[in-house]
Amino acid sequence: VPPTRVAKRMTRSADARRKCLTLLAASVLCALTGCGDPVHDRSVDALGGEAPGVPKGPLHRPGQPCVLCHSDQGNAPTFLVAGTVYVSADSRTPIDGVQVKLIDSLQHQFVATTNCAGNFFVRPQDFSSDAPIWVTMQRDAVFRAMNTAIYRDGSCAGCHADPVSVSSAGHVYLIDDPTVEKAPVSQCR
Amino acid sequence: MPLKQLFFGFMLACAVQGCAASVEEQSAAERRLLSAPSPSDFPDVANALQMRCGTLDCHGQIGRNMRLYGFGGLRLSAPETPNGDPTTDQEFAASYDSVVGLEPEALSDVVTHQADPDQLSLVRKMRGIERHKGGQQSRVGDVLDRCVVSWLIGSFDPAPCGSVISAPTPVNN
Repeated sequence: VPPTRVAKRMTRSADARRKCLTLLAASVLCALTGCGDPVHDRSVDALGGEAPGVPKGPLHRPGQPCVLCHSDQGNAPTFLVAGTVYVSADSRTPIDGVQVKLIDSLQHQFVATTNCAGNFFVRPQDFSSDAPIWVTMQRDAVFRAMNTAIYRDGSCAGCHADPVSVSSAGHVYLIDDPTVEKAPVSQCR
Repeated sequence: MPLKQLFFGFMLACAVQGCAASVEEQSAAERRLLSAPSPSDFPDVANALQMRCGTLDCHGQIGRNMRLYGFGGLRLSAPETPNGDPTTDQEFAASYDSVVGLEPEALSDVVTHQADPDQLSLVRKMRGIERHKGGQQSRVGDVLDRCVVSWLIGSFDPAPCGSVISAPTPVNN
């Protein structure tokens, strides 16, 4: 017996409902199990856990690629640019009070200041920039400018990871020549 | 069992007779000589590209098709570091291979038949005509554009490349 038009419509409607439910279930499953980018997930996993005694916050994970998690892909508040400043090329001592100035291609400027962990961060709502972004650092009389601009990666450690290699410039530091420039005294206790 | 024997028999026949011969013949028939822009003029172009495209967060990465090597970015081999010595001849050569190897046939058309450079992804992305995560880096006729395009079409002018390299930045002017 050929189905009536009403019956056909009901069948189509039931099919559509089933598809919607399947899609919804898949979305919920993805959200729960993390159907994200496996490369990104592996990069985050490779960072390891939090350091003992340092809670999540402005002082955590110095020297790590902040924007890996602090991005739309990650699970932390989004940063435009973030990183850690150390005293010198040979030292992993963080330095606070460094004014990190970002200057974009339209000459817009924003200044962030490093904290006791040497960390600084700039949120997108703080600085609406037009790439590339140039960077200078200053604390007291010591001034340092980055040789190249930031085009894509807002994590300083994306390019400035240790150790120095063919593909990494090493950690960010303020004092270029310790025999000429004196390291400022940290205000952190 | 007979099916399995038949399969292995076929594979053996292929191996002996060379089933790949037809593929080889096809490649030979389609093979043609390609032209590329001058390697001797490339260092000036490379230095300009290095400034604008070759940073460690862009084309100074080993994951890139158009991989650029040199000072301020990815280095070809240790002990060179991003902030070390100036770009070496080997790095210029490696960057040259990277650039001319992107779309060799289309590039050859530009070099030999004066085809529109816009047909190259390099130019389209640089000019922002095609989606480019690094954004628009040049406009038709500006110094970077003239530097690259003059090299591509075989009427190289080093002056605009020099202008790119010496252009003031917000932190050095």
